[in-house]
Amino acid sequence: MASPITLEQLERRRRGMLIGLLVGFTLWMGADLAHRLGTLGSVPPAAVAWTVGVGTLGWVFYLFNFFRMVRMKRMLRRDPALAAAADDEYRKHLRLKAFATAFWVLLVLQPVLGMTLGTMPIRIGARISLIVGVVAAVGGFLLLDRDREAG
Amino acid sequence: MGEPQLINSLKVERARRDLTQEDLAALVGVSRKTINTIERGKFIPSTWLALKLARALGMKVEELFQLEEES
Repeated sequence: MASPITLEQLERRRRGMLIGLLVGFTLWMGADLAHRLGTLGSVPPAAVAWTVGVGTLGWVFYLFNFFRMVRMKRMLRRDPALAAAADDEYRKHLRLKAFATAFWVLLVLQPVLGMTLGTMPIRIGARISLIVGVVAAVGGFLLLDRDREAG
Repeated sequence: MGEPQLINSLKVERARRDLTQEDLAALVGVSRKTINTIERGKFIPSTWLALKLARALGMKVEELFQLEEES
């Protein structure tokens, strides 16, 4: 069954959703991290109050785009040809490159975090690793997937 | 002597048949971006995709993709 959407439209929407997920995730987790650092006294109390609002907004935005993605995947399941074209070998290649980039970024981050042992709880170091990993992978993919001029 | 580079005449052959990147992408079942990056030499397609492209253009794959020896 053909979808009422072209591949170009789908790619644009998908890119928008990925950007939304990335922004939402960064705000949500970044605010949470700031809140945790605030409880250690590393962040001014006034700023900590803002983290709850920003974090909630980020979470809502992340959730909104997450459900958009789920809906799109359901639509693609009904159109296997479009789904295959939307996830072709070039896209798989970019995804692999993005994950590889994120891996190296995380590898470089670990000794840096290791130097903070004793001054910062391991939980916060793990949270930083999670945020950096996701941002590096998704952000890397978005950078690699930028549209070039059509021929 | 360096590694031979892969070159292709995809853009030329596509234009000869009056096809846009989107048209060719639809014929072989990939995205326009994929065609664009192959034409620009930024992405080397798999054998499977190279054969599909050649078939879509009515050519042999070795007429579409060649190895250029570095001087």
